[in-house]
Amino acid sequence: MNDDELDRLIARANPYGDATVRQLRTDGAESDLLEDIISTEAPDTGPGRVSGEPSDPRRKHAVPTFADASARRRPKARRRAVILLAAAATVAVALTGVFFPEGSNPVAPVSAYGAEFRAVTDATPRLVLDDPAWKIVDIPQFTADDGEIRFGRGKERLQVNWRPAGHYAGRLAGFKDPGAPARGSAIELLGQKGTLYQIGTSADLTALFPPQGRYLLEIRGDVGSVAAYRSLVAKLKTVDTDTWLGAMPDTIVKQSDAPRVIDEMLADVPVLPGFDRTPFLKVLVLSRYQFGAKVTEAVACGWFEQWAVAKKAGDKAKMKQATEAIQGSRNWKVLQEMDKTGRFSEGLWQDGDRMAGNEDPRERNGMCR
Amino acid sequence: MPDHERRFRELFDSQFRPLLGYALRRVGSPDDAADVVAESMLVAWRRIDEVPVDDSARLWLYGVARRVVANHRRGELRRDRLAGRLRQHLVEAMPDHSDLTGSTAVIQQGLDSLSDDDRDLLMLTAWDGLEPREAAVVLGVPARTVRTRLHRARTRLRTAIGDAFGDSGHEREDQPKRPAQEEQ
Repeated sequence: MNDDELDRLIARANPYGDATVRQLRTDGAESDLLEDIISTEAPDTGPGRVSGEPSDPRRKHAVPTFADASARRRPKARRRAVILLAAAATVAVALTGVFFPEGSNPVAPVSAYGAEFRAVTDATPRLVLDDPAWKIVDIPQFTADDGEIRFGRGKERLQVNWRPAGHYAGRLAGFKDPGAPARGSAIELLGQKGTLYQIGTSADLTALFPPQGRYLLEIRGDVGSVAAYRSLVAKLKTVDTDTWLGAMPDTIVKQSDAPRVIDEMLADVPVLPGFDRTPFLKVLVLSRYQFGAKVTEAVACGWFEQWAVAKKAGDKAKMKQATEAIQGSRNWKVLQEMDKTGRFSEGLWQDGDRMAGNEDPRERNGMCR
Repeated sequence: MPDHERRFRELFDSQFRPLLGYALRRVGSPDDAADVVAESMLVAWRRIDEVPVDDSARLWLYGVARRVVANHRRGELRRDRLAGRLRQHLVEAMPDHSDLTGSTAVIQQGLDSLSDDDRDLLMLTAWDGLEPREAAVVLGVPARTVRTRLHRARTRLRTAIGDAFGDSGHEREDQPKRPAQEEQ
């Protein structure tokens, strides 16, 4: 098969071609988004800069690196961006700030499942799937009001979200668009009556339940058919906190594991003196991948800062030291492990190359906020 | 209307759909695509002075979206209230792809088996319709590098799909047709 033939086959496999996307109906949501964005803080148009021209001619056609936005952002913009550009900061705030007020002693020894940890966990759904083939594979978000757990069997996933009760009307409206009659059917689960909706493909299903207490429950999965979905979710059950935490695989870092995991992750990582581990000891539950991202990001940001300060001062030795530290991150075991899961490692490795090219690595969206 | 606002409105009008398509092709779910679009457009608004004024604005936006998606794969793309309405509408408006089988499924499985870089490159050229030099801009690599990488990516995909299409590489005639023919 020649290149043209292969390209045609690939093009035919495009699930969202231009024509399909053009025909998607957004019912004004598009213009709402435009107005909402414009009503946020004004763009970062510096004095003397002529609107319509690139700030730096050399960058005219350059794609922004991980987000130059953060480094040059003004305070007002920064506040907004912290909300919108979510990423690690959101998780960090959610997992730490709310439950560990300023002044608490996060480095005090934590019992297996400390009281504060249990208090949060007790407030969440604590669901497990009563089927040994299905394991908890990821916890990208975990607070009392807003959390997400993904169960997996091979490549199949079942995603459970609990969201603030106030989000229910919005979620429901999404499924019950007046222009597209809902295709929901009744479902009863965990003692709650909800509705099962089809999204996209016929087997991509989401069950939405009215709020009970402080959160609503939403369960999404594509396991081949409606019958298979119903059979699977019927195996969901609520367990006590110890049982739920005991069901976590090694790919999930619990607060009680954090000191050991941090030691392991940093074993071959050059860390600047005074590196603060405290924030990571506050994490309640997080997938190992994201935990690794938080820890290595903090390490890297220390080196980025040294590089930038040294550059300003003309201290080439310090710049070189920082550059070598980040370039050496290709050998960090934790990043090699994470590289099998996502692209965080790749980004950091590219930062090392940027530093070697005399480019400020902090100009990367989502880092070092 | 301030000049920067006029520029952003023009950018939004001309690039919303292409960006939405880009996002849907990468993340699959309308929920996530709405968030990727909202976040990428917000970055563009914040940095409107840096968005190229010519046709390469789309490449600039794709570059932003690519990093947003990378963050998303890290599991960090949280639901953005800006994208709320768009998300809700897209959920209901999505076409049904449940009957996409045969050659499409084989290719998609083949793409899934590739590295992120290989898959990105093939999608940019075959799905987003970019020339290799344009894909190079999105990926932030030299054009000559991208041509070599594209060759390797195609080779790896051929290996991944095995003999599903025989030596000729033509789609088998017994495959069902797509529900909507796409423009090439």
